[in-house]
Amino acid sequence: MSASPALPDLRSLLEQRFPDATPVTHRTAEPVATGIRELDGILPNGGLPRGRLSVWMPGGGATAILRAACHTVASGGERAAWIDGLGTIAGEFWEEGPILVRPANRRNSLRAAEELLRCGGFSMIVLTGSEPAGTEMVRLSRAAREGGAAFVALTSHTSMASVRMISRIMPHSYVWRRTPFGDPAEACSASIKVRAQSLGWNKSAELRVPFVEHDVRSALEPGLPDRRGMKKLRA
Amino acid sequence: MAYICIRSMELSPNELEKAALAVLRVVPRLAVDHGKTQIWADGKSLELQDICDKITTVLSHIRINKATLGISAIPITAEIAARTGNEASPVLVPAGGERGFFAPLPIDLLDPSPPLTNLFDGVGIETCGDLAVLAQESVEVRFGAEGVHLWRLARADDNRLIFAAMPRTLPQASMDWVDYTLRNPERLVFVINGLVDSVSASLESQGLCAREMTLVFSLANRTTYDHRVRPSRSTSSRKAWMRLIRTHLDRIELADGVTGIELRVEAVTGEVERQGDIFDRGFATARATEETVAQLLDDQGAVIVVPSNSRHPLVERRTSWQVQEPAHAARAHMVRESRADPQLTLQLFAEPRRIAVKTVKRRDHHLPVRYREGDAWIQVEAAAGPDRVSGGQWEKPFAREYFRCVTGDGTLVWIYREAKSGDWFLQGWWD
Repeated sequence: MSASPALPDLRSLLEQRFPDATPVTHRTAEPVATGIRELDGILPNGGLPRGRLSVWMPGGGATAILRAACHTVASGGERAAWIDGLGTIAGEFWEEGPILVRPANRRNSLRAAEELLRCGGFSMIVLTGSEPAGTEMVRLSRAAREGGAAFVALTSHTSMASVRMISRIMPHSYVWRRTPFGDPAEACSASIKVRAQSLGWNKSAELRVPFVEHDVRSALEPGLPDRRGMKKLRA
Repeated sequence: MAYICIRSMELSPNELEKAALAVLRVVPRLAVDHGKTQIWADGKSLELQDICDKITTVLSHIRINKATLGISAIPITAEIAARTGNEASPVLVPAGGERGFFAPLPIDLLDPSPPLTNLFDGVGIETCGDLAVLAQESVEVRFGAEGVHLWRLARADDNRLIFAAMPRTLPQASMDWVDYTLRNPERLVFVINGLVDSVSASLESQGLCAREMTLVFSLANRTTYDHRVRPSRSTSSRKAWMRLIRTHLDRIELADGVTGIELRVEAVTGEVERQGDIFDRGFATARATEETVAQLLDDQGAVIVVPSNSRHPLVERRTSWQVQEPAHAARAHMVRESRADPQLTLQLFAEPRRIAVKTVKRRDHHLPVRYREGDAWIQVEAAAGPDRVSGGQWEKPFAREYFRCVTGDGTLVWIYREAKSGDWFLQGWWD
């Protein structure tokens, strides 16, 4: 049975009149490439949709992947912003690129997200630590549409989201550097399984991600150099 | 600039003051030199002959008839002209003719000290022209610093600042009312809105941006309350200033009702437009971004930050956050290299969370096997550690044993045991 000839016309009319109601898989939103080949491969249109809200379940390597995506955006000459709602970013591991916003509370985080989204100067904005819900989601998704930024919220609330992402670090995929006794000494890398879901879209990929080790120092005072492991000078 | 030097040797200090007041009626500003009994008048942009006639007239009204006037673009020339002139007519030295005017005059007019006068006599310097033709090095070697100073004057080179720079008038607006006092914040905002509108329009017309403004509230108890408002970046935008002032008004407590408000600009900057960069894809939106960032900083304080890291043994004390300027934040996207490969980095809780931990003994230490956060026990699949950190002997001693543990859901968490108390804490995780 063939489709009615009026169906494509109806579909295009709906896309024109209600662009937000159209699934991103219909290529109605320009993508922002994350620069991670495996991830772009599973995202509709090859990237996070501009002017749309994407939600990512917190944890499971989401921060690592989204930070890399922000750096890709920044290195392409566009702006990216990271709103750290809970102040969990460790300064030691923050690299120049996206602007870092550390609001004092959840309300300020959502306000900051809305203002940055509306200004239209950012290609990608990531909101972490302040999970928007209900009407907040509606406001933020409207702001994203006005400003044209790819907005990613790390939240478990998936309403209004064009793309839903879930990632998980596979517990048994850890690669360890071992001690002479054979015990784990340092985590080197692990596999992250990422799943992207949208209307009529469900794809997953697995990528191997290294760990950045924290530099543990035992010097008595902060001004003293930590000389552990250095070779002794012979007279 | 034209300096008019008015000189009379017969004036007492009181008469000099009186003369100055009289001259001030016809010139825009003046300076009184009590030591030399002379008055300096600023003849800038004025018709000099006309102004000299007026000065002579006003002085004659107060019975000062023996004043001499010298006019020149250089102070020393005007001063010498006044000293050498007569009461009948002012001496006007034309621009460019100052050195020629000086050349035949005796060197004594420059008031050299007695030892220097002797030296000048010894080498035969009698006129200003004799001194002016010498080379600076020769004068410096033979006559010292004072000689060089007189040599400069003899060459009509006088950089004295006779008149202080005119202070710039910055925009301001005020409104007073006497029949009633205002206590309602909304009404105050209404008045301030009008004042800000006027000041912003004035700033925009002058191409300026205000860096700081002061709100002065006149209160019913006859006191005033000053409040300074400073945005994160200078702007002339009425909207931005009103938003900021509204935020400040929320925090102000006034002792009495308000009977008047003055808004004055304290500091200004020029309106700076950033030059475009053809490789900057975000240039078109740079201004909007800068404004948004400035608005965020005004509303929420120092929230846009960059880390400044030390090498403190405790990770929570390593970083101090530095606020970013709006213009810098709007440019911060220009990074040279991309690190597109994701990396799992340490995330920290604002405060370490106290947890209960079950351990098993392994050689010289106890290894966590599960921990409880909230109500749930979380199984540890693998653990690395301990990494022992201690220090702070001169402040607050600390000694910790850190473990990196993989939980059942695959997260690598960072927990530590406080050696002093034996308590366990969850400090962060890798994500």
